[in-house]
Amino acid sequence: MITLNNLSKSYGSFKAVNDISLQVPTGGIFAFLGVNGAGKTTTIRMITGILKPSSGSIYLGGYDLLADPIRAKAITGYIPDRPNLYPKLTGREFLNFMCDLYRVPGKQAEKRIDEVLEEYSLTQWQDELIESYSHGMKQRLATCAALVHDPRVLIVDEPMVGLDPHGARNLKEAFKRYAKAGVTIFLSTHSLNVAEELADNLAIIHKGSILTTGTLDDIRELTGKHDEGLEHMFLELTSPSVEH
Amino acid sequence: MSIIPVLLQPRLLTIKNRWFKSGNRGFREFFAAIISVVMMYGIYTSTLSTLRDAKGLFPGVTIDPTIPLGIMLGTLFLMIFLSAAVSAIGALFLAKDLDLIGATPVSTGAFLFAKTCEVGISVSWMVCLFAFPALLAFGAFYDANIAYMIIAPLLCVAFFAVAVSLGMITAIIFASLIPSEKGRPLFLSLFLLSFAGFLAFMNGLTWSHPSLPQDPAHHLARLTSIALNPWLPSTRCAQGITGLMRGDSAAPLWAALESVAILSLLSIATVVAFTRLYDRGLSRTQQTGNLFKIHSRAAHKLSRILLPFSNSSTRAIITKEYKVFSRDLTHTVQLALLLGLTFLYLYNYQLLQGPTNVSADVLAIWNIFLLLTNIALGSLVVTSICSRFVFPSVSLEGQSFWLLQVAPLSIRDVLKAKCKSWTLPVSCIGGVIFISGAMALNADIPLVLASCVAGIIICQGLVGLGIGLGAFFSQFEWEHSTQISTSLGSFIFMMTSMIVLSLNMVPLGCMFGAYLLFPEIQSAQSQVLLVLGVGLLITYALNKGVYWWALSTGARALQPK
Repeated sequence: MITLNNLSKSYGSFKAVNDISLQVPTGGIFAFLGVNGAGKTTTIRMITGILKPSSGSIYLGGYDLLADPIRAKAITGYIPDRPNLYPKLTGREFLNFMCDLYRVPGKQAEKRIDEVLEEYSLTQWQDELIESYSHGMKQRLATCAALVHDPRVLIVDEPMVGLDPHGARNLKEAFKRYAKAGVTIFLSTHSLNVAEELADNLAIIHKGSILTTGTLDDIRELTGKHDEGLEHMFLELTSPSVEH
Repeated sequence: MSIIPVLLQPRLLTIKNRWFKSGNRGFREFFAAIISVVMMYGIYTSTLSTLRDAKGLFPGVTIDPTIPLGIMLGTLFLMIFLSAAVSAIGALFLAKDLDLIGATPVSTGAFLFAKTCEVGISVSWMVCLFAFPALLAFGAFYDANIAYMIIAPLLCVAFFAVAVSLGMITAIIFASLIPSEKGRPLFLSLFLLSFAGFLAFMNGLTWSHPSLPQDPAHHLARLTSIALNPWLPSTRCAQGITGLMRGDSAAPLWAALESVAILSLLSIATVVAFTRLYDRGLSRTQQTGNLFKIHSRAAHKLSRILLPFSNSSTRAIITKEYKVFSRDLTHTVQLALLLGLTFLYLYNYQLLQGPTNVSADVLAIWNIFLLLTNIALGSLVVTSICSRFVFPSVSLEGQSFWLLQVAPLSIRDVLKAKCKSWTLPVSCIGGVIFISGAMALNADIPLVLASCVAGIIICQGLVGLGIGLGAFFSQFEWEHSTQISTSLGSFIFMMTSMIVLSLNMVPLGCMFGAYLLFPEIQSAQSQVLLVLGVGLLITYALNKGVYWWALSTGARALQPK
């Protein structure tokens, strides 16, 4: 569902992302792990079309993002790490705006907005301006906005930032449900427990390059740490003393 | 007081980093700065040549520099006052750094002074770029000495500081008296009331004027008469500068003392108002809430009815633009103040009436001049509206711009939707200005209609230019939204608009000239249609070209990189 081919992004002589290739299968959660500054957000910004790759290609649902961005973006939802939304719109107006941008037909949009607002406990706040929302509520509204057009691909950057324990638990459950329903979720995080709990497949990026990719068991096999958790393996793989 | 440079440091460092550490953007800013210098030189040379041409046209007549200087300073004072009032609301009450500074051990006085400097610099630098070359041109024309070249700009700075101080105190009082959710209706009501009072006051002034001889030069004198009342600070400052030009030391000294005295009084009043009212104003502006309950579902259905022919993504952007605009207090204040300026302009313009005791040829040329002036001045009013609302439109997306970047529509479509949002309101305002101006001149009905159509066509070009250059010079990280309209990009937009307006004058001048100078054309309806049609068609092609060029430039600048 998501294919990255030899993707690179350079800023002058600095290579933020260096020739990465990934295949993310349909319907499942793919965790994209890395320390701060590893290149996670740059990769995500390229997949969502905010940044243009220096080289390589990106396919979302079979559509080439660079050649056919409109179709590729139409099947994608994006939840950023910082929910910068329009503060002067109400929650419902904002979701209507998103439905119109993604061309969801009128009645279907109204029904879908009611559903996501209910699912993320925002129904009673729907007619309030977003500027009056708490950070967690904004994060939940951003999630609603990413889901309101029923995307086939969901790109998520640090999803648990700003959520209280209840919100975080609900979101994790929701991700599992969406994945089961066939949505492909590309989850960038440095919360290893989240990745360990949710991911079917994962990749670790370090200094712009992919260190390893596969299931948790594949990585255990690769590192020879059969009884260790993800945290231990991750720290070992990304340790400054290890030459890559 | 040593804390003040510290408080101003982030702004200065931001500008420095934008220039030297932002790659292409830095180059773009540098390029814009070069253009600004070229334009300053252009203002200097064009002012000088205009003064020389005027002397050639009216040989033997001594033009008193107090008249043009008084008008210029009065207009600039108004501009700075309006900008300062709006910027002060942003800087004192809505800026993102308030929490950070509020938590530090900074005294109230230092905070106020630093913010005043910030507002003052941001709203007056552009005005100084316009004013100083013109002042120097006056000096060169009247053979002023070197002291004039140094002291005249300083006199202006003191005069502009008065406007900034007045804007600061207005903002503090306004924010503390009116809760943010009630700001819009209350402010608009107050504005309408004061406008009615202003009209009554101005009527009184006009009636008291002696009747003037009926020739073109004196018509211009009548136009300027309001700006030259001796009690106006701008007239006093202009008299000071004129005195300086003539080597008289008393007049500039009095003007400087007057400005400093007013500034001192206003500064004391600002400190008192700030000490007593700031906390109240801050809590009021931070309140969130709606005067009217928002029924989001009904509003959305209404937008579908009102915009039936737009596709859904265009409709989404247009609806969002109007909602965000109408809920932002600073926008409302700016709109009301700009509408005030528009009314002031129209009121002044109606003083121009056709002269009666001149030959038909002179009358025709005079009318061509007036019709073109109507379009040019009206377009300048529209340009100033565009620089406040249309140019910042892309930057105002701010950190929410990612929503449009990840959505399934092209950047060009986003810009086109923004143009559609602004074309209607700007054309309506422009249409009213152009029709009113042409009717005030007692022009023939075909010319009134042609002026209106030409004005609306120009409005479309200006809106496209505003959105396109707004995208090209976009800055999504701002402390408060009012910063955008006082940026270098905004200055370039205004300068480019003036070039576009000058280009428009060519086909329109030919059109009005053909109609007014050849009476046989007026007698045949088909020829009238042909002349006006061709003129308007060329104007349309010109503005469409500007629209497409600006949109392409803006879209290229916003493409993912």
